[in-house]
Amino acid sequence: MNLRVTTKSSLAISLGFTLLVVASIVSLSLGAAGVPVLDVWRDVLSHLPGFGRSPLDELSAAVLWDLRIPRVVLSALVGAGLGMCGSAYQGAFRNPLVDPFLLGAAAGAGLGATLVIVYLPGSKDWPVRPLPLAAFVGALSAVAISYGVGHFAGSVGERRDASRLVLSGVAVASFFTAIQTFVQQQGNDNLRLVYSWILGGLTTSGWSDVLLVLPYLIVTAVVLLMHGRLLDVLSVGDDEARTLGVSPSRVRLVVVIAASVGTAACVSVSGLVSFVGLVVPHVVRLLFGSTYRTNLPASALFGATFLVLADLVSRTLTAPAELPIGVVTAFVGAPFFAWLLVRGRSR
Amino acid sequence: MSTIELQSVSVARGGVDVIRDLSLVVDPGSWCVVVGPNGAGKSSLIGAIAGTLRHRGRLLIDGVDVGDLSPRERARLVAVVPQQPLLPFGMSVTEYVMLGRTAHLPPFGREGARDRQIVGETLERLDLDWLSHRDIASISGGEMQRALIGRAIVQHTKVLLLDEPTNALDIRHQQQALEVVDALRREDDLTVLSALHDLTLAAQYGEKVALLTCGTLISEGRPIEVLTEERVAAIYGADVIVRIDPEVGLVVLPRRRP
Repeated sequence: MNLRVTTKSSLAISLGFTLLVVASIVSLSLGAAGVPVLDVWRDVLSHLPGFGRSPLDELSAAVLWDLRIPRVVLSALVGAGLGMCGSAYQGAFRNPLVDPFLLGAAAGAGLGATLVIVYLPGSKDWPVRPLPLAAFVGALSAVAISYGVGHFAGSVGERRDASRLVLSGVAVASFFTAIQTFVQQQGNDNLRLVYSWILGGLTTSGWSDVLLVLPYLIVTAVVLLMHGRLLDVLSVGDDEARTLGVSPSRVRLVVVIAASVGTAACVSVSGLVSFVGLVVPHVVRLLFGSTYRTNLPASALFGATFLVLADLVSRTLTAPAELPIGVVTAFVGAPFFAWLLVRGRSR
Repeated sequence: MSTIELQSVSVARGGVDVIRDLSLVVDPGSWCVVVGPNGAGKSSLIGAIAGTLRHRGRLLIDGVDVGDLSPRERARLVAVVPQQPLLPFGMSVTEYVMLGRTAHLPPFGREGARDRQIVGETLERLDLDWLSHRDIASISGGEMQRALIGRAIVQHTKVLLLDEPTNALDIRHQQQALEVVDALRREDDLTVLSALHDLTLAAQYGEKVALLTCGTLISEGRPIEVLTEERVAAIYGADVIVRIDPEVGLVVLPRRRP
C-alpha cells in the first residue's frame, strides 16, 4: 500500500501500544490497598537480577501479584477482545453502529450466568466454577440460534443480505432476556448478584480467569486478523465483493463465529461490559480511517487501554467499594453513542 | 480476447422472470451495448454475467460456463463497473483500486510489490495518481467513475461489464469515461458489454447493440440496423428522431411535441 496508508496504520498500532503500556503502568501503580507506588515498582523490578530485594511484605506482595496484576492483565484482555470483536462485527455487517452483542451474545451470557447464580448458589467454591462456562455456552447458543433463524429466514445464503440475520438477533436477544428476567424474579435472594454480573466487573478476577480466556482470544485474534483484508472487500457491499472474488456469506460466517467465541470468552469472565465493542472501533475509525486491517488490531489495543483505565476508575473512585465496570464504560460510551447518532443525522 | 455467449439465459427476481430465454454472442474484443427502456432487464443481464444474480441457461466465456465457477475464479474472468457503487468510509483511492487485486492474492494474503506496481500504473493511466491519497468518498463523480474502472482494470480480466457507466455524469465526464473504456478495450484486448440509456452514445461506442424490452431480446446487430426510428418509438413509447450525422453517425433525439 502507499506510504501514507502504511504510516497511518503504523501510527495507530504504535500509539495504541504506547497508550496501553502507560495505562497499565498507571493502573498497576494505584489501588485500594494503599501499597505505595514506588514500592510496587521496586517489587516488580526485584524479580529481575540486580535490582535488590522487594520492599513489600508478604500480604502486600500477594495483593499485587494475585489480585492487582491479574486484574490489569484480564481487563486488558477483555478490552482487547471486545474492541476487536466489535470491529469485526461492524465489518461483517457493514454497520458502524453494531456491537459484538448484536446476535444475542449478551442476552445468552446473561441467561447462562443468571441460571447458575439462582439455581447453583454455592457453586462459587466448586473446584471448577460453572458461571463462566454457563455464560460462555449461553452466549454462543444465542448466536447459533440467531444464525439458525436467520438461515431459515433466508438471510444466510450466497446471494442474500444480512438484514434478516440482524433482526433474528434482535428476536433471540429479546427472548433470552425474557427468560433471564423470569429466572431472576424466581430467585429474589440473588437479585443483587445477578445485577452485579449484568453490570460487569472484574472484582474476583485472578490468574485462573486469565488462563480461561486467553486461548479463546488467541484463536479469535488470529482468525480475525487473517480476515482483515476480506472485511475491507466486504465494505463495498455483498454484490461488489462477489464480483471482486470474495464469498460474502462465507467470510461473514467465519468472522461472526470467531468474534462470537471471543465475545463469549470475554463476557464469561467480565460480565456484560457495554459500549467497548461499539465505541472503540469507532474512535479508531475516526482517527485512522476505516480499513479493517488497521481497525482490528488498533481496536484491540485501544479497547485494552480503555478497559484498563475504566477498571482503574471502577476500583478507585469509590474505594474501598467498587463501581461496576459496565457503569464506567456506559458513562463514557452512552454520550459518545448519542453524539454519533446526532452526527450521523447531520451528515 | 474472449467471447461472451449467452444460451437461453433467464433471470428471475422476486419470483418473476426479468430476463427470458435470451441468447446473445459478443465477439472477442468488441463492445456490445445493451439498451432498452427502464425495467427492460439490462442491469439484470449484467448481474447474471457478473454472478450477482442467479440464472438459468448457459452463460459461457470462452466456452467456460461461469455459473460453475467460484466467485474467485469468476473474478479472474469478468470485471464489473457497477451502476451504484457502495462507498466505504475512510478508504483512500489507492486502497479502493487495490480491492480489484483480491482474486489474484492468496486467500488470506496481502498485496505484494507487483500488485502495488499494477495499481500505481493504472492510477497513472487513468490520471488518478494525483488523487491516490484522497478519501474515495471525497472525489467527484467523474473521478469516481475512473476509480471504478481502475478497480475493474487491475482485475486483469478479458471481459469488462459496465452498468450505466455514464449515469449522473456531465457530458465531459461521460465522454471521458467512455473514451477511457474504449482505449482500454483496444490496448488490452478487452471484450466489453455495457448497459447504456443514451442511444446516441450507444450507437457511437457499440459495435453491436442489443435492444431489450421486458426481459426479451428484440433486436441485435449494428446500431444503424437496430435503432430505427420506428423500433425505438415502438419499444420506448416515445416520439423520436433518428438521423445519420456525417461526423458522429447515428443520433437519436426526442421530438418536442407541439
